[in-house]
Amino acid sequence: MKKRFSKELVAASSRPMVLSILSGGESYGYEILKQVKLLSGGKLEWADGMLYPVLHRLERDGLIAGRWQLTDEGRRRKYYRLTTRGKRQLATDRDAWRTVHGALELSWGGRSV
Amino acid sequence: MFDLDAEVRRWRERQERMSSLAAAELDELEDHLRARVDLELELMVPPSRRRAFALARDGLGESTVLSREFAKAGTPRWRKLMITGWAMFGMSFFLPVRALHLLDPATQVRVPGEALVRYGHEVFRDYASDFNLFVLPSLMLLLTIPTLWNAGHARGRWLRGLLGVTGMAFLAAGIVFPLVAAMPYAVSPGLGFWLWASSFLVAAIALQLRARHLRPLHPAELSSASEEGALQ
Repeated sequence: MKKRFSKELVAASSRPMVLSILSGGESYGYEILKQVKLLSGGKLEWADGMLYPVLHRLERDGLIAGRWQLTDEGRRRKYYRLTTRGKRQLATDRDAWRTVHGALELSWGGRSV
Repeated sequence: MFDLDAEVRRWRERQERMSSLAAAELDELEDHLRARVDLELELMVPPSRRRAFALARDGLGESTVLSREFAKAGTPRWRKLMITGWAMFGMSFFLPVRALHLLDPATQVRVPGEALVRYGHEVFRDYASDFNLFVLPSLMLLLTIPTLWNAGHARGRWLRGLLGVTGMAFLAAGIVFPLVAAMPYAVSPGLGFWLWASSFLVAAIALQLRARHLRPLHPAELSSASEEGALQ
């Protein structure tokens, strides 16, 4: 993780980030990490091994569901998809983050989104 | 010649030895490791499998850190094992632990219908009322209760040693004793006995995994842990 982001901010944004990425379709751990990096223009870089505990927690909470599949190379790979509950959570998270973002923009003299 | 498959296998064996990660968790991490190696090879000029593997392996982090982070996301494996051990121990009290079969003195063949079956709770009650030393192993398992709340870390080492030795000793006795005992009756250990004896081994393995889980981090691991903990 690059130092410019606080631990708390990264932790708080991990759920909506993963849910948002999975709202675009089924994906697996490494691909999700690459998406995080891409979406943030390389500014947000999660530590490799630490994504999986987050994925497992979201799976345990029923927000995403995982299934094992064999890759072309014959490796076992776990793919995750968003569940209905996850979609609802993503909508809630999106509202909350937009509210926070809007409030901060206004307080900094910018335009609200 | 660098053998990627052999290195990945070694990495996995090390994780199995040093971490408390389950097989499915390791499968997922191994897939990640290989995917990262593939990407690093694409980016490298000139490509080096050795360097690509080193980068991917270091990116995943140390076994202890990974174990802790995975444990935060669910019930640690050692805790599930400890509960399993306790469940086996508890069940053994309600199952037959031994059966005595009368033998025909002339033929040494079991006399049908003459078996005396004893249940776990009966045997325990008998031993407890006689202050028999055989009660001690069962009481020893009580000492593992605080570990479920992360207490009692200091006594973990000797306790898991004692439990492991006890479990193996009783399992061996269960096999050997009926074969060598010279008595006017045949003894056969029941399912309750095997569950009871195995529960000590399961608890010892759980304590071993717990010790790995709680092992203090090396200074090098601490720096990566503080960064990697960001996602929690």
